[in-house]
This record gives sequence, structure tokens and C-alpha cells, in this order.
Amino acid sequence: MKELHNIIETTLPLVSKPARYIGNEVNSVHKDWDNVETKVLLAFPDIYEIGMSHVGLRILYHVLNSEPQILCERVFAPWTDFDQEMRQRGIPLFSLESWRPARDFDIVGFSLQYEIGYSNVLNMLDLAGIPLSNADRTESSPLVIAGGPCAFNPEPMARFFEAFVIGDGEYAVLEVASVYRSWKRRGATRRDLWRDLAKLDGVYVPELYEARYDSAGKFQSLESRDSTAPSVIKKRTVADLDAAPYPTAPIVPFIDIVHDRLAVEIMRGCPGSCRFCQATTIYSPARERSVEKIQELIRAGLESTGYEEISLTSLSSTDHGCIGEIIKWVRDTFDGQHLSLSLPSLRFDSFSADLARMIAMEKRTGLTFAPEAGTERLRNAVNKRISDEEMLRVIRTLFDAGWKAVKLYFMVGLPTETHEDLEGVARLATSMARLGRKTAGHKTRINVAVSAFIPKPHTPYQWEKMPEEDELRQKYELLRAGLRAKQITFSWRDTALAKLEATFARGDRRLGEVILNAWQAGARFDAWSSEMRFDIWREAWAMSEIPFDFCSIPPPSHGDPLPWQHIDTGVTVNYLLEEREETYSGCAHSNVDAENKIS
Amino acid sequence: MHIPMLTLRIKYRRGHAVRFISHLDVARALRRALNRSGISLAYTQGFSPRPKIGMGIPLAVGHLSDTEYADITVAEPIAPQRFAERLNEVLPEGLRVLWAGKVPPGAASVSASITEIQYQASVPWSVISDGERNKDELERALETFRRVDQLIIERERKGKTQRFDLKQQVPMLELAYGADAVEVTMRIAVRQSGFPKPEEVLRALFSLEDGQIKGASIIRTDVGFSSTSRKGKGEGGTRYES
Repeated sequence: MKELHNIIETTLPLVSKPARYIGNEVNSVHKDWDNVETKVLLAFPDIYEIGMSHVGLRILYHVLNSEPQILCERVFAPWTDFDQEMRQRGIPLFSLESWRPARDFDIVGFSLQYEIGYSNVLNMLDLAGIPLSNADRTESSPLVIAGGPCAFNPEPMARFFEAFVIGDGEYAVLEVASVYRSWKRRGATRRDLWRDLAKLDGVYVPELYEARYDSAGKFQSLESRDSTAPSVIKKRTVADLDAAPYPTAPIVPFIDIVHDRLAVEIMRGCPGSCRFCQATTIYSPARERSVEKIQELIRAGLESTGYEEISLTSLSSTDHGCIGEIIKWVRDTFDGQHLSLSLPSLRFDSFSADLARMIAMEKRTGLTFAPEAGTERLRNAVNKRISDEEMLRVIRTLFDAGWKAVKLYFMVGLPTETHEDLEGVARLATSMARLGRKTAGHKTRINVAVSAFIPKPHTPYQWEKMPEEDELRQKYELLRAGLRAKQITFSWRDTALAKLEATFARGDRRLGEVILNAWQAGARFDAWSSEMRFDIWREAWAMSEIPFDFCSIPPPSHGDPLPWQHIDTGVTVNYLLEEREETYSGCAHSNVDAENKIS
Repeated sequence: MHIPMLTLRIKYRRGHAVRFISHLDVARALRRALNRSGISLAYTQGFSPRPKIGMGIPLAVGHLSDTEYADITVAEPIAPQRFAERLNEVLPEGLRVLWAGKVPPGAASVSASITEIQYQASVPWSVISDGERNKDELERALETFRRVDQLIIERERKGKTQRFDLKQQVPMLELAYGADAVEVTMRIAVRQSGFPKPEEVLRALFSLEDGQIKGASIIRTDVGFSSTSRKGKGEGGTRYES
């Protein structure tokens, strides 16, 4: 222990941003290792600044450390320079709090927030000296598990995680820890542990299932190989957010992280039902925290952290039934204390002039909206119902209230998209820029950020084809040409990265081999343009024996089984099919057609 | 209601636990600790008001210090001693207020008042002998430094070259030989145009590589304030020592 401390100490001065690895932040929890029975390590497969910005990680840290017999520490992916030094000097992956090797913990739980982080999971396990594949772990290895949105299609990572927690983790993690504890006391086999875990609600243990493929190599079915393994795993849902634990003394990082503020989750789930959106189904139903509870969390959180900014987080914060009341309370209660307030993910249709004026507290940082599509026709088709007029009205209100910058997210390649829809993006952004220039002057900014539509499991579009890269690039080019106004900045997400994400999102078990090959060839930090090497992934794909990619799933009429169909979100396939149908039928009666018929 | 503004100067320690955080990180940690303390702060006027906190001369990541300074303007009457106590209750491990005093109105900022910084660098013998040098050679190097009229070092940054004359900007340089390490004590003169880093002095003196210098432990041990300008003085003394 002492020796490892010394090596880490002398290595940190050699790497960039050593503060990522030191821990000791205000409100971090340091328990006595020898007096706690179960040690859990929360692992995030990206750098500290990103991992610490996730509310979920902070919730689980709080939940686990609230238990006297459990100790919970954190680890993030070491950046490439430190990774290299660690390998050279034999430093194993270690926790922030106690600088103990990850392999000394009982349970290592990964948070899977985006598919592109998969190579980092393998890299962290390797740095930890933990066998990568479930099959290679022994009784002395930590139990390696995962949770988060990517667990809703666990198959691509099935060979690396012994268990997946599907859905809300607050209570499930404690159950997993408890099962582990009694298994360890009993001294039973690894397989016994898996069988015990499989009995828990919302816990999927992939080793207890076998995937079958037909002669052409298409996924056929997932067969249970054990009596304890249920054929369907229902996601966990915390019914009452007020009763659910939430950190009152969140960690205050020393370094500037992506979201460096007091995050108070005011709602989980989204009342909207945009058809491309996976969060809608996996976090359903929408549940609100009460105003009283939110007030309590804000008071306690500010007092324990000293943060100067509050973020009222959710998938769509303006949809909280009492959002006006909450904002007014914050403004009145902390008047003169120079707090700023941010609301991520705003919806045009629930955003009022009142709200605009109320969040105009001290700092007016930009606001973000996601119209997603350029025309009302396409927005209706994907069920994001908002008119151009309504959006322009909101934008005018914002500029009037003093905002200078608005960020707009759009998706390219959505089902039924036409040339006209792309022109609509440019038209909309240009009208907003013009409006801004007139009402708020030349300093206004409209930031247009575009990404590719990626079909995700458990959505009505889970059968859609992922647009080809060439097609996407052409469309980006078209948009860029249309967004020439001085006030507009245009950014887009890499098409090859989108393609990879699409592949991971709908892949089956065999993808594990591709991920393993790519990691062995040097893939890591794939979400970082400076580190991503597409050649590695192309080669890893070519080496594998999977006969097709996962970007074109056959349409639902084929009735083909889907690799994630054993995961039950509570939304039926029939509902998804109906929603998908609405997209196309809506398209047949487009506004143009209707007008032609009338005249 | 008129709230009388009061500026307090603190001297604080940056210890082992926070040696890898940056100057900006310390400023942020200090601000949040002040928020947690409940002491009412004075803010700047304007579109985005900020608390009036003036930080001293930046300390490099990895260095320790027993002599950091900051000026904080508060919006409530509070005795310096009480201010220090309340801040210490909420500061993270590694940051500790050692002294607090009142700054007279109109005084220069703390960063503008500091004219000299003293460092203690501990360079392990293993690093020195890496370059096959012994005590005699170090003494000769020091002798040479004392004799020359000028010792110019260059710093390349963003395509620009900055020059410092170490004879002008290192008014004190002493060596002591311990069992494990060579102890280098140096005073560096702070100028508006900039000043050499202790690592640059070590490099010039011992002809060490950057990687080797990272093996040295460097502590800021003292800070000199301008004695000619009345502005730099707090109550009761020319230097902010308690």
C-alpha cells in the first residue's frame, strides 16, 4: 500500500492534470477499509471531468456510502499519458479515495452512459489486472457489473459484465451488494453468485443465457441455460422520487468539470414521446420530485457545497408541473446571493415569457433547445410537435429578456426526411438570427449543432436503417451552405462516430469480440476526436465473422427477433409498431398534399 | 442600507493534499469555502458580478507553499481572527489560513504588492548524480553563477521568446547538502514583465533536464512585499507576517 502510494506520488507530477487522480475533494467519503464488509468501486469509462458531471454516479455514491457496512469509492479512465506511465511503472488502476487497487474491491460497477465508451471499459479492467471476460474471472476477482442507459441493450458487452442492472439503480445496487455479501460469507462458487443475482428484479446475468443464430448468421434467440434465469428482465423503476435517496452533500471537485454546479434532479423520465428518443422509454414513466423536496435539496446542497450555480436537471425541465414556482422560490429565497440558475434541455412548447424573465438572474448563459427537425411536417412525423411560429415567439421572448445566445439541436437522417426538411433547418435558424439582430443587436448568436439520427433499441425507430455516411456528409454540407448568416455558428458530429455508435447500439453478443479486438489493437477514448482511430475499428470488424453490420435491421414486417428483446422497458412492441406506423402514415398526408386537395 | 466594505488579507498554506491543483482551482475552492462559511461577501458591480477576491502570485501545480496570500472583501463587519477561524472550519484538507489582517482602503492589490518570492527546492542526490555530478561540481557551478555579470535564460511560449537575466532576478541563491538531497534556497524578484520559475533556475544552475527537475520538491517559503510603497502595508507592519 505504502509503496503504491509512493509510486503514484512520484508519477503524478509527470502527467497532465494530475488533480484528476487525487480525490480528497470536499464531501468525498473516506471510510475505514478494514472496518467495512463490502467495498464497491464505481467506475466511469471516461475522464474525471465527464464522469463527475453525471448525476447518476453521484446518487449511487451517496446511496452506497449511506450504508454503514458498505464503502464506495470512485475511479475514472486515466488519460492516455497517465495510462502509459501506469503501465510502465506497474501502477494498477486505483480508486480516488484510498488509492487502493481496483482489483481489491468486492464489486466494480461501471456506468455505461454512451456506447462509444466501451473500449475504455476494457482498458480500465486491463489496467486493474481484472480478467476481461466473465469466463476468466475467478473467486478472487471483483464482481464486475454495469448499469446506465446502455444496459438496455447489454448484448455487445455481455461477455465482459457478470451482471447488468436494468433501469433505476438506487435500490437495486443495495440488493446486489447484499446478495454479494451473503454469497461471500457462504464461500460458494462464482456460478452460485450469478444465480443469486439473476433472482433479483431488474438484474440480467448474461452468462446464464446462450444466444442462437440461424445458418445465415442472423440472431435467432437468447435461451436461458439456468432455472434461475428469467426469460424477460423487467427494468427497475423508482416509483416515488421524494422517498428515493438523493445526495445532500455532493462532492465539490477541485478542477473545472463539464457541469460544475449543484445538480438537483427535479424529474425523471420525460412526458414527451419523441419517436427517435430512447430516454423516453427507458426512463418512463415521467416522475416529478415535489417542490418541498426540491427546496430541501437545494438548501442542503448549497450549504454543503458553496456552489454558485444550481441546475434543475431532468430530460425536459420546463415540463415539471411546478417549474415556475420552483424558479420563483429560488429567486426569492437566494435574492442578493448572486446565484445563477440553469435549466438543461428546454422545450419550446412549455417555455413561457414568465420563465424567461425568471431565470434571468445573475448570469445569462445560453439556453439550449432541441427542435430536432427543420419543418413542422417532419417534427409531427417524429412526434416533436411544435410550430415554427411558436419557436420564433419563444426566441423573441428570450432576446427581449436579455439573452444573447441560443443553441439549437437538430438531427439529420430522420425517417421520412426530405430535402425540404433540411432547408427548413437553415430557414428556421436564419429567421432566428434575423430576429435576434433586430431585437438584441449584433452580438446575438444562434449555435446550430447537428448530429446524425441513430436508431436506438426500445424506440419506434429500432427497425430503421442508419443513414449511410456519404448521405449524411452530403446533408451536412447542404446545411452548412444554408447557414451562412453571420450570427449563426454551425457544428456537426462526426459521421463515422455516429455509425459506430449505431453499430454498438443495436449489436448482438458477437460484437464483444470486435470490441475486444479493437481494444487490443489500441482503441480507447473513442469519443475523443484526438484519440479515435477508425482504421482500428474497421479492421476489427473485418477480422470478425459477423456476416453483416448492425446498421440495417430488417423492417418489423419480417418479425425478426431483436437481440435486446429480453429487456422489458414496460413499453410493448405493439405500441412501438403503432408509433412507427404513425410516422409513415403522417407522411402520406403531408401539409402540401392536404392543401392540394382543398384547392 | 450602506454596508461598510472591509478587505481582509489572508496568508494561507497550500499543503500536500492540494499540491496537484492549479491556481484557478485554489481560487474556486476558496470562493466555495467562503460561500459555505456563510460570511457575506462583497461583489463587483456590473453585468456579471463576482466576489471581490484578489489572489496572490500563482503557484505552480505540484509546488507547496506556506506563504500564499489572498485579499477578500466582505460585506459584514468581522474581526480578522474570527474570519480566519470560520474559513478554516470549511476549507478543504490541505488549505489552511495561517493569519488574517485588515487591508487599509486604497491599498494596492496583493499580487501587485509582492516583489520577491523565496523558494526551497529539494533536489534528490539521485537526480543530481543522474547527470554524474557531485558536490564539488555543484559548488563550482554556484561559484560561476556568482562571478558572471549576466546569466540569460530563455523561455519559449506560444512562439514567443521571453528572456530573464538570472543575475538580476535571483538576488539570493544558496546550497546546502543533506543526506538525501541538495537543498536549494533562492529568492526570485517579481517584475511586471515576468519572472523566472524555480525550475528554470535549477535547470540553468545544474544543467538538468525537465523530467529530472520534476523529481524535485519545491516549496514557496516566504514572500517579500514592497517596502517603499505604503500601499502594500496592512495594519501594523511592513510584511504580512503574523
